[in-house]
Amino acid sequence: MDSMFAQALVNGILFGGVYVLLSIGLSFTFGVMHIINVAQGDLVILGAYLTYWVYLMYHVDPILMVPVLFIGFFIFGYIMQGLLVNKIMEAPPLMSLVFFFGFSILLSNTSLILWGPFTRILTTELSGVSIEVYSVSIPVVRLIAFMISILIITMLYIFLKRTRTGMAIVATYQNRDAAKLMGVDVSKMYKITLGIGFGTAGVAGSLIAQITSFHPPLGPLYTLFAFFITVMGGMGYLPGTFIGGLILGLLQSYIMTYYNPILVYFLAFLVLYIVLLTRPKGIFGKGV
Amino acid sequence: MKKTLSEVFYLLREELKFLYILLVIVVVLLLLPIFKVPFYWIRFITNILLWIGLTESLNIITGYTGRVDFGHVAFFGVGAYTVAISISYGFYWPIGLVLSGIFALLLAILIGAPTLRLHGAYFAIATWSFAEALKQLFNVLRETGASYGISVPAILSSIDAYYLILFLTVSSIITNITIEKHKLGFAFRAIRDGEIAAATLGVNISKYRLIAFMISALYAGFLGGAYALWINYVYPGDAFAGLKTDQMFVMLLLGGVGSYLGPIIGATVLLTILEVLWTYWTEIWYMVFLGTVIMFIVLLMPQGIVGLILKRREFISIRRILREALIGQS
Repeated sequence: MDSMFAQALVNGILFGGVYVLLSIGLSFTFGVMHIINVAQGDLVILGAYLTYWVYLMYHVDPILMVPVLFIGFFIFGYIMQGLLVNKIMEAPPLMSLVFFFGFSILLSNTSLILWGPFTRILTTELSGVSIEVYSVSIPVVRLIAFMISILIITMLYIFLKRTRTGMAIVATYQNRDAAKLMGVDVSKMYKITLGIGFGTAGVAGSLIAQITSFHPPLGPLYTLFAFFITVMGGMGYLPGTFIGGLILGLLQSYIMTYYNPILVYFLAFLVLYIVLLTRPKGIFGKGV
Repeated sequence: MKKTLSEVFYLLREELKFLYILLVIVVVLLLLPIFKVPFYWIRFITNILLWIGLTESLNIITGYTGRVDFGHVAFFGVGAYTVAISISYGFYWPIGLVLSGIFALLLAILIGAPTLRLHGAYFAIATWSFAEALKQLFNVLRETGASYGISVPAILSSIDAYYLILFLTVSSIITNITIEKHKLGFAFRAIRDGEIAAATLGVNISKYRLIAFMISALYAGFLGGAYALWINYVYPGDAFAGLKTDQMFVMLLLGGVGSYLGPIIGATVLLTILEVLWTYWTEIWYMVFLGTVIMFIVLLMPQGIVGLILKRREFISIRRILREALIGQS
């Protein structure tokens, strides 16, 4: 195994871990509410900008921003579901899809107004530092981002399996009407679900700000990345997102290493399209 | 309940009133260039007509058949590129225009046959990712000038382009009206309202879905070709812009989904508002406005402006009136 190949492998896995966090909100929201949040990528960009901006203005460590962003975005999602989205839960799926579509346009252009179209990257003291393992360099920031991502996903898993609220959400996911009959406050579960969806997107944004460059037009692209991962793993099937994230991370890393970086997007869309056609329920066939 | 003949005629007149108004508008539009209208107005009306046509084409697949096509701009872009490329190969422009429709149609068959099996959000993502993939492809293809695109020689004057787009848009409206009244429209709407029920009643779902998609793509392709002839310049960032799909959806939702009147009203209202605001606003603020409008239409008036009008007029389709009158069923 030559070092270029190994380097691409490491990069792919590290990026893949962050991509899992990026897409888990989308998959989760779809699984529980059957709503597709097409504004996911724009929330990620918003999170990235907030981290960047707060660091530049007040020198707040990006890692400290992770819990702050999660709570802030959680409240954002919670309120939005309560005030607006709960009104269209019974409407045809077209309505919620188009609703989030409008939200996506609103968000991405608001970030464009606030921060302009320039490409940015967050550079901290840790940015240039990397660990050398057998001629493969592992950037510390990416490693930290990867670990935070895995930590949050584990916490989400524990929340869903071990807490009453988490179990109520799982019950809603499995059967909305039965959950309602068992006394679950479904509309509250929806609020928490969208809150978690937004929260994970915000945190993913803060991680992405540290590991790669970003600008507002990338929002829809990250949404499509999230789709890619979710569709790969099966929509609403959370363990599947791990595999999807790794596939995308590795695909991106190898194409960037050996071919033209622009081809990444074309090939990612092409693979997404083919997977949708041949295995719409994910490569494990466990999607909703 | 059986209706008397005079009641039937009254209701028929109510529906035909819209058609008469449309006819008058078309005649006025046909005569417009004779009156030496300022160039600015011709350009403005051409733009409105183009968008009416595009939204009508989206209405066929999204409005009648109920499939959310987030990648509709792909057909528009393919049409525009077909005209640009065929003219650069020395073809006479009408041939390029016909080819643009044909290529969009072929593309619709190629991607429609597999993707139309997907439901709801899956179809939306599949079409969206396809359109994005095409855009990225044209961004790297050196033969078509990559992201710089290709220029189209100015063969048509702005008046010619105006007549061309007027013709295409009017035919797309006529197609929509025909679909609405024809057996085809009943099949489309039956598929939209319940696929299994429609299949049980003998509607060949996959056939009619594909027909809807093909007609929809055909008009988007033609209009893309006409757009290339009008603007004289084609590049991926414009021809395949996701903004075009966004705007089509806003117009469709604003006007009303699933009615030939919806796109006409939606496109006219939105573009007029835009033209007024354009002097004060930059494009980004316009997009913020667009996003907000989409969200609030969905929340507050999902039936669009047409829905508001028709609710008051108790609009009933000709078929239903005749059936009620002749057979006595409601």
